[in-house]
Amino acid sequence: MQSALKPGAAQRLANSLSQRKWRDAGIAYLFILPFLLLYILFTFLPILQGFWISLHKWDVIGSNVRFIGLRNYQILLQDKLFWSSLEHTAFFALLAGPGLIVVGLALALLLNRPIRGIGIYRTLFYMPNILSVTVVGLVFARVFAPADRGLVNVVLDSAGGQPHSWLLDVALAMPTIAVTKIWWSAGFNMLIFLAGLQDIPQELYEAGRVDGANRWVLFRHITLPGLRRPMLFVLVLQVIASVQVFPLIEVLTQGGPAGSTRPLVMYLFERTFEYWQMGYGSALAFVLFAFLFVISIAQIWFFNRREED
Amino acid sequence: MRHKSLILTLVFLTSLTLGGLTSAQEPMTLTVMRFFGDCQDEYGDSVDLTGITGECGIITTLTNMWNEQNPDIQVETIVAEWPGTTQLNAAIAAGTPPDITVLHGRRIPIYASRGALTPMTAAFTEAGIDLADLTAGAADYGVYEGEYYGLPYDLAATIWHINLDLWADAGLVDENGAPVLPGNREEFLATGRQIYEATGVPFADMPGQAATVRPLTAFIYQQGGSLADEEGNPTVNTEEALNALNFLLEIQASGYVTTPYSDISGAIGIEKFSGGESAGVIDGTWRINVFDGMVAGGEVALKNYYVANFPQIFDEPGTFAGSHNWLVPLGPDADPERVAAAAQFIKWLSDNSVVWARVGHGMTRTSVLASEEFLNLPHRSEYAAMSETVRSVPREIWGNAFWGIVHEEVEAALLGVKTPEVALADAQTRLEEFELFQ
Repeated sequence: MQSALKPGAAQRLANSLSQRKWRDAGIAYLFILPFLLLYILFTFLPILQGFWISLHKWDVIGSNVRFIGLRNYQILLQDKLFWSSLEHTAFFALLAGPGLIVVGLALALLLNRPIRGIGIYRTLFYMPNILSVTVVGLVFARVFAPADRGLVNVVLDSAGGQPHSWLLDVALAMPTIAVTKIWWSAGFNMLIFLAGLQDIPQELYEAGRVDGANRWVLFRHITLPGLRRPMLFVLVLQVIASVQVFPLIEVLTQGGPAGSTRPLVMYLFERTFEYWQMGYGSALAFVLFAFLFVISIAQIWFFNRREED
Repeated sequence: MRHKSLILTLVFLTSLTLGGLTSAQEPMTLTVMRFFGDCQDEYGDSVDLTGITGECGIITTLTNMWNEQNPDIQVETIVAEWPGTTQLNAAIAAGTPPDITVLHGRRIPIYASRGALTPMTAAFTEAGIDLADLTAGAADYGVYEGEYYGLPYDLAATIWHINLDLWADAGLVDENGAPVLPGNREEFLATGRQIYEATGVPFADMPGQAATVRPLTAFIYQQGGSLADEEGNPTVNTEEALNALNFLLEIQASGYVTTPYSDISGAIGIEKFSGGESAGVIDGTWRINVFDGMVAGGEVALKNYYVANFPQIFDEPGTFAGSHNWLVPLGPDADPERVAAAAQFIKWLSDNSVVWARVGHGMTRTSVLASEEFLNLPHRSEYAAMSETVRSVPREIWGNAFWGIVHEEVEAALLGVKTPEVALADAQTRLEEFELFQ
């Protein structure tokens, strides 16, 4: 092949390719430039500014601003409410995260069949996801209302059970919120898994059946590995969403009873906007960001490693 | 001669035009940021207060009436979400504060201490607002460090809504048709027992914060206690506070009072009371109009409704009341002309505050309390005395954090998560930590 080229032609071709590469890259950068500028202006710079604020004693309004270095971070480490909020957040993520994945996957498996009216079922199961957090919160505040005023207690009562004060019980309030979250958001995961399931070649299942594999084996060795990418996507998103939980809890319990459901973002909001401690609130936000960053990277690394294996 | 006449005519017309231009100045426009909801669809053109009883309808109509009567000072409304602080902070931080705003009184110190509010004592006086007309209870509601920053418009107090029929079933209604109210700890529990035995229902529901921070504060004041020391530092961990909290635990354990703190909005308390499932509910003045409407509708079990003052358990009468205050968030160096115009509008609202009483809120002006129009409103005479004995959170910066912290700690004690002593100590520590950030 090399001998077919005239002397210097290879160099010219390489130069031409290099020029085209640079030209293509330039065009590509031009296309993303508007987004990049907006991203830097409205996301990246505010993040940097947030960190700068976290190094200060900084009121929401007024000129009460003083540089204090890492003092906010030092206070944070000894702040009992910070640690309890972090604990509540982790508890919620552990309760809601697996539930959202299992229920989303189960719904996707059920609705990935050629049955009559499948479009209606898919719509119905996805529908809670389009409701606003206020609507969901208010509805479930009534569903889990105490004594005989809530749907759950009425059903329990008619089945001979004892009514509970679901949202008033320190031990039950967070699981109750997690159940509400699963009802509300599992439809989104269902949609992602459904798309993933439809991407798995049917030939793999046919080959498996020919080899005598039962349903569990097919699920374990074809479906689950085929859903690795959607699973990673859902897992990362769910962890981020769970750690950032706030509005649903605000509507259902306002962080109560006795602060037992106060998540980290609610605490951050409280300190920043209720107490006007913007510097401390920014420090909390950066710690939250660090947690999420490490967890997300760990998840991606874990899944990529499994894929390479 | 003809030319001369023409020139004179032109000069005359020109002078008329210029004169007209100088005398017809642009009207001043004041912006008012307030909560109370948006009801432009229903009351956008309303200039008649007849029959309006809701907060939004009244405030919108009052503003429309002002605009109609004052072409030189027009008012534009910016509706904020309750409690109004997020939008106000954003406006102040952006350098575009409204000329007037409404805030809960306990928030005044944190804004005033940061120079975000305009001192108003002089402006109020010049506008003709008689500050001496404020009731004894409300007199210091808008004051921070000796200066009026806000004019208290109303008293959102904790009171006792009573189902007279159920009290009558227990033989606790006198010959004048008024309930026989308890006057101390023993009478309170005895009344509860008597009503429970006769009707099978609790005699007081205390939903949400009506079970925690509001009664705790009221009971501390009823003992002559205080929430601040002489230097203005918070003092929540006191003997009076412990007595108050122990009493709350005692009445909860009695079963005659139910304390559904999770009923944050109070909706279940309303349902139970209007449905005859409780003989009373201890909650805010803002429910009065709601219950009156239900009784008038005739579709609920509640037929004979009475409003009583918050129960007196200790030595002195008294209840907790918050207050909506009208303020000027233009800072200390505001344009005196705008401040004067803002004070005029605030005076107009205050002069017409008797209309605001239709909602159920207590009044802050002695002259309004004595007015025939006020006394003719349903139930108002039953709890008017409250305006003289109400108390609020001290006007200190930590008042901004007091509400949430004390609610949470009292709730922890009522749920048995903490002992009363630990809950009060924790509340004290948290308030002191808040102070450290100031």
